[in-house]
Amino acid sequence: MTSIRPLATLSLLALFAGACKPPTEAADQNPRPAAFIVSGPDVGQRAPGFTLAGATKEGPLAQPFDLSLQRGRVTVLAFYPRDFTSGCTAEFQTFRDRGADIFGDGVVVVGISVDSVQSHVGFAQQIGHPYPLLADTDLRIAKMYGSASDQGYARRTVYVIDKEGKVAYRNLHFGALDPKAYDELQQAVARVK
Amino acid sequence: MTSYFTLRRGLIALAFSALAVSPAAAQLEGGPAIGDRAPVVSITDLDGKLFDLGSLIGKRPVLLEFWATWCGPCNALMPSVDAAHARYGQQVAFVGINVSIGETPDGVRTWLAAHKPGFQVLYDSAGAGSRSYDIQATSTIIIIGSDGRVAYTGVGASQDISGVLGRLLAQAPQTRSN
Repeated sequence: MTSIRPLATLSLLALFAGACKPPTEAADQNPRPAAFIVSGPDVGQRAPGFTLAGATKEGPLAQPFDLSLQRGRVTVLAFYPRDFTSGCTAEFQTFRDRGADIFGDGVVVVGISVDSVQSHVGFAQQIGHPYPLLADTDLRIAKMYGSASDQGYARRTVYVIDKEGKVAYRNLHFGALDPKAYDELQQAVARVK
Repeated sequence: MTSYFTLRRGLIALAFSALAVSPAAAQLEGGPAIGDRAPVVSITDLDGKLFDLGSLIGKRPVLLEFWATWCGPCNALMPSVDAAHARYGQQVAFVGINVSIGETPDGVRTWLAAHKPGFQVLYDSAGAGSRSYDIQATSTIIIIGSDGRVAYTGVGASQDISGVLGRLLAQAPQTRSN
């Protein structure tokens, strides 16, 4: 994969996805950009650095989250559409309930959406979410990671970044309600721990 | 690339224009498009037995609700689904697919005993239904016409299920003729 240039990758994946699910592009009544915007760092490429404010259920983070400071630790970035929505609730409840198995000790896990720090505090408190949620209010980071939708929020994607700061795994259409998606994520994390 | 997708979009819209029964009342993240042939998949019930949706799809109208006991919008939507079931349950198969995320079979049984929904309950422990239909949120409703094609998709608490089914059933003969 690393030998294929990004534009060629984009073209091939877009054609492949379109061939598999033709009506996806009949978007007037049911827009679904998810599987077609393929950009952001691929597996083996360096994860772009960023700094974002965030929160936990205890309140706003004292310092912004800085990806560059996570070097030496496996880091999971989970982009998601919005706080308090049912799909995101399912995803983060699963992270809460199965996090010890999926991630284990020593793994940095952050959720990223367009919601504000204040919203994140409320959402994290509502579901008892144990990991930080970051406020990408202008979708700047989501765009860097090929995770921005054209509807003003992030698509549901997951990146696993290894200890050297390179992308070890990505799922650009993470199935929040699909148990196998979590199993695959768990395996990806285990491979780089 | 743009022209490719523009052409595809045009062709697909043309192909499905005669089949569309009703536009979606709410936009989904993921999910099938109106006019798609509904995936025929087998999903387990609460006892672990496989139920083949193919026994319903293409034979009569089918309503699928992807739900969870912890899902607030699902609970808020329940009166609308129950009312629709009371009115159209003889004509339409109602199937509630519990997504199993954050659930246990016993927890779902307890919830069912308390709430007694009108739909047949499946427990999607392997995610076969969510994956096949690309479902990203609970409270997602998929209505499939008797022709086996998706006629409606929606998500959230404020869906007028009776209204949608009424329009679908009123247009069903025309849909089948296509």
